[in-house]
Amino acid sequence: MLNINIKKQYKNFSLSINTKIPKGFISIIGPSGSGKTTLLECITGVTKPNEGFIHIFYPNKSKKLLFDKKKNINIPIEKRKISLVKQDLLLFPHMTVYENISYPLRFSKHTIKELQPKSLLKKLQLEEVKDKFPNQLSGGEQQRTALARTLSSNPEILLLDEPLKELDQKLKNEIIGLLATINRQLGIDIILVSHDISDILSLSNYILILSGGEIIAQNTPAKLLITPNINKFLQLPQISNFLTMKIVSSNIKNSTTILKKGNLSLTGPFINQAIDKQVIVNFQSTDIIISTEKPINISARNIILGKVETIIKQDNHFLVYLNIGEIIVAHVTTEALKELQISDNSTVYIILKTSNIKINDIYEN
Amino acid sequence: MNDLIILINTIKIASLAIAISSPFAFIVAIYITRNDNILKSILDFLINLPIVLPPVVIGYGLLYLLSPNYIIGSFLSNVFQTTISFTWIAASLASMIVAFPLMVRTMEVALSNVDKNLETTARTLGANKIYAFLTITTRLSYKGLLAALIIGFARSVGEFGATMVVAGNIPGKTQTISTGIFQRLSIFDDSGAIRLILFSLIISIISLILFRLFTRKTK
Repeated sequence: MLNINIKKQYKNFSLSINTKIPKGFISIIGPSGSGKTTLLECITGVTKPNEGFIHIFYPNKSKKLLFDKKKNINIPIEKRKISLVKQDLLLFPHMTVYENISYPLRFSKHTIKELQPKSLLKKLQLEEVKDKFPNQLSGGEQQRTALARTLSSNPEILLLDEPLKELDQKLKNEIIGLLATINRQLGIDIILVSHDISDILSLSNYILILSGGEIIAQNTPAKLLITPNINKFLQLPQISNFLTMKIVSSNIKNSTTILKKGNLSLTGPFINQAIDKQVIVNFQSTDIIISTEKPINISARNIILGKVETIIKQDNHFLVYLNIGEIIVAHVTTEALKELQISDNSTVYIILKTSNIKINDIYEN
Repeated sequence: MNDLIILINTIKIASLAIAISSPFAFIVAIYITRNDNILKSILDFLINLPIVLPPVVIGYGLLYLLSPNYIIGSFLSNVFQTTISFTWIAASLASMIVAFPLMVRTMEVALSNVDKNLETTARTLGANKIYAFLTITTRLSYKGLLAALIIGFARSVGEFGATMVVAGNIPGKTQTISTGIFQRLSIFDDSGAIRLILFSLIISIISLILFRLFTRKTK
């Protein structure tokens, strides 16, 4: 997706990046002052690197130059088709929600139905607040408005600078679900900067770790997790698993919703939504129980047959990557793993309580 | 009738001063808020100069420049066969110089109160530099910009020293409220002076109310 080879020098800090970032959901992590935001600003064009180049490369091997010092090319911010959502959202305070979302269409009218303001208002459940001003919105509504505005510009790449910082867990889940939808359903590449990756690890297909203005590691999450000296950056108390599933049925009497994706079926808590509606399902790695034998007489409603993909040792526990038709991650203690005697390719039963499943219901098909 | 002529003259002189100087004040304010270089320091110095200089000195400087022996005066004299010293235009020029710093400083505050990142965000959404500036920064700061015009107008109306030197105090031509008050007081026409003082008070109060309205923070 992006080929970056740049240097940016400040008085007390220098950024030196050389990487090829693939398509998908990319996370950039690192401590404060590691250059994450500067890197995003160089990609958007807000900051001009001192040397090097940045280009977008496409699957058909063509490329679009955004910046090239040698060729004296520096595409203006507005022509890059790269949108940036910052933590403080920067909604235009003198415009209503609808006016904010329609703003990009003043410059480039596109015909993508899903990214039209009316469609986005509906998708992101902002119809009721479309005539309100940003200062009249809740935190979640403001976040959704900022994302809707960005999406209506039909960006090639969506950059997010600490979008989850200082949000409560409920709002975090809502926004993560939305980002998953944007990436998986709309096919927009996302680069997300965060100092804490626990909430987005399972969404990311590639991770860059920055420290002191340089990339110290970059790879898929699974590979980084087994890289000595690097996995310390990914020591996580828990990992959120995200799955895009369809509602098959919901039963108010039993307080359950049946969700399906391919052969995978899950029972989640009741949600009042239409059948066939696509939703984002999430559950924590610490909520998963693994058994080598099929449990009987158990209260948990979800007993799924799966296969161990890989087991990664962390400081005082193991991360078990499981294939249940989708890849999910489970936390297992050292003692439990010893007793289970599982290894790569072992067949196991995955047990998950209905109440541990969260269904994000804010998205339309 | 005389009072009305003085009032009209004053408003005419102040209006021309603001109409001509406000675009320059706006450009200078934009430059100052967006740059940090030697030119900014020079502009800062030049803008502050009329605030600390005695208005009489400004008036004398203008008179000097507008004299046919010097560049501006000789240009006007040679090309247009005219001179503007001791005309209402000279009074406007004097008002312009004393009002300019106030306008720039007020505009500077208004512009710098708008988060620059909003404009950058507009650009990432496809707006070019000028459109982003007009639809975001200018739109969000328009009340402060209007307040700058009001305060500049009020200062122009009250201008005395520089106007006296460069435009004189010619009744019906260059006489303004301020110079009119001075003239009436000097011939002990107290009632005439009080009428002009009332005009001056009314204009000042209206200006201050408008200024307050435009600079009030919205809750």
